[in-house]
Amino acid sequence: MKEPVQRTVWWLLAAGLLWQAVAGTARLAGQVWQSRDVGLVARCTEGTDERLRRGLGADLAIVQGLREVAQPGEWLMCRVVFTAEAFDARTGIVARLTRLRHALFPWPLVTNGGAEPIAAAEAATPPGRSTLLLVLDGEPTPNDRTGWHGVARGEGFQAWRLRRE
Amino acid sequence: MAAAAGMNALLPTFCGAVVAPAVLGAGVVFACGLAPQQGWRVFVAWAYLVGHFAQAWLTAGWLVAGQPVPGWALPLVGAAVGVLCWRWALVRRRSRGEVPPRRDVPGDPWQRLTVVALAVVLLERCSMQSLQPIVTSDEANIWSAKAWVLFTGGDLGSWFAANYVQHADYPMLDPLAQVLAFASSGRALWWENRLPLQGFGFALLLLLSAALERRLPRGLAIAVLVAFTSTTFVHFAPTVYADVLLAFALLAMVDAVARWRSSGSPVWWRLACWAAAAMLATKNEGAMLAVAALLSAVVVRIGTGVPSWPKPGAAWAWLLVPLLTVVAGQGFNAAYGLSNDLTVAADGSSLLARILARGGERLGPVLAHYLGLIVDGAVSGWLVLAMLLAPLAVRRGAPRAHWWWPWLVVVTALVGYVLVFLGTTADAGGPDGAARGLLWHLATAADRTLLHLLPTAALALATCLASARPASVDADGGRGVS
Repeated sequence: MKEPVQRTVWWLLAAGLLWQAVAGTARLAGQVWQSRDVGLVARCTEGTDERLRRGLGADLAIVQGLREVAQPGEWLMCRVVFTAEAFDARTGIVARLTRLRHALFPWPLVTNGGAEPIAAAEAATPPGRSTLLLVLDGEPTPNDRTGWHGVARGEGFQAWRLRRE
Repeated sequence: MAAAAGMNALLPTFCGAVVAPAVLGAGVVFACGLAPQQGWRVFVAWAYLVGHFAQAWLTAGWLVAGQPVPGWALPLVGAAVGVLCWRWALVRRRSRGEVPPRRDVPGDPWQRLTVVALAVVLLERCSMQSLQPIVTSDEANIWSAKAWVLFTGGDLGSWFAANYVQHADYPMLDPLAQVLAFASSGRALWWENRLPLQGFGFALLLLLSAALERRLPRGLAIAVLVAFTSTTFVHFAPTVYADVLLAFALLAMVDAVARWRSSGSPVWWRLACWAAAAMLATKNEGAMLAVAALLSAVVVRIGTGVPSWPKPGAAWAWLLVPLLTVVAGQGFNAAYGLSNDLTVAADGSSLLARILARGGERLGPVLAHYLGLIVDGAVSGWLVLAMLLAPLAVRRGAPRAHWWWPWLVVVTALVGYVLVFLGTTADAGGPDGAARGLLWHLATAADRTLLHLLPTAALALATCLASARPASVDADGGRGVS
């Protein structure tokens, strides 16, 4: 390389890349170091139950409770408040329902029931069908409404079924 | 879920969804003319990419036919086809008296060692990721949800109508690789289905290390490879997100075209067509990247006079592979009434119309966001930044076609991604406000769009830096690889 500008740029780029390699090595080493407490053997041999328990936390009880009562083709309405003020809370509940939705696949199919899931379920359930409702702590229950029956209860949650005859 | 919890299906998944597609791919790429003697890293990487792509067609056929044979037979059939392809190609080569191509120089042991070390780190990251079941984020909402629905059968239309699968119009290579994992294990899985997708991360490291070794001095090649690995690559490679797969396919396609141009060997054109097809089968962005590559090829052809594609003839028949892929994907989407929300928005506006209508107000935030990613070492390892500056280091008189090709692909694709964000539908109403919608879309997706380009940016950077060296060094890699 005889051109000085090209040579200078080449060395500058090389220096920047070497710096990134050093910084990248430190980042990778840091990530590996942070997970040093988790045994390598366990990562490969641990069963799916343990992984589900870790992934779902306390919601595993909801999943187990709903699995026992859900029928094929049944939808599960959940309350999701959609306001600008509650953006962060909504993000949290949506993430939680996402976990439940996939952990419960295929049935019941977890569905966003909006701010009024009871009314949404009643509007969406045709005769001869049923819909489940997930009630989390602090949310209204349909105990005084026609056609609803409690089907599961656990710490922090209740499940109700609306059956249209 | 239908999955049986409490059991660990790593072994059948590894055999059926990692090894078997690699065997199929080894046979196919060997039949296409690539030999292991040309470099094991290159051969294994190509075998994995082409193998999964070819296996996806078998898997799709198995699903369409209603799963007529047990799932475990699926990888066996794929591997058997691979062995037959290999056998056929071997007999053909022997009958023609062809001598296997040899690599020019042995691989550098330090670079091999680096690849092994980085692979160990990646393996560790994969094992950590797999401690979590796939029940969150786009991993579950888009990629695994589609695989679960495809595998468990039933009325796909009703699942799509219920919006269980988000972005159900996305291409099928990723979900079909997961379906292969389910089929191999005989049941839907919670986390083991990451394994075939994680394999693409390792294959990408192999291919990139070989491409860098062919162009850069040892120290710099190692630095670029380490810098790349420490980017968002190491975050997404352990997941079932399709972004690393797309990045891999783009790198493979660009590198293959570069090697076809410098060597004239038809095998690289064939492989480029396979890689382009894999790109198109991975994400909708693959179509944009294909357009970027096509535009770049035209510019290289016009600007340098060097051919960017073969003369019309038998070689063009290989373009049927990507074309059929597009037709199959569009056919599936048409059958289920699926469309992309970016190209056709809910309000009926087109992407172009939104770019024209909103581009002015959005350009600043979008460019600022991308600039932030490009200078963030943890995201991009400065690879794109260095690539953009690298033409300043190119020696006067160096063949332009060498470095123009990968450099233009990355730059054109970057422009394409900026345009897509200008036309995003993420802020189409809602209580979060328009600006928050755009910023949310940028925050959740822009780093992954940059990841699509990172390996190819590393390749372009290496090609530019190689073009800064004396003319005796071939910027497209005159040296062999291992």
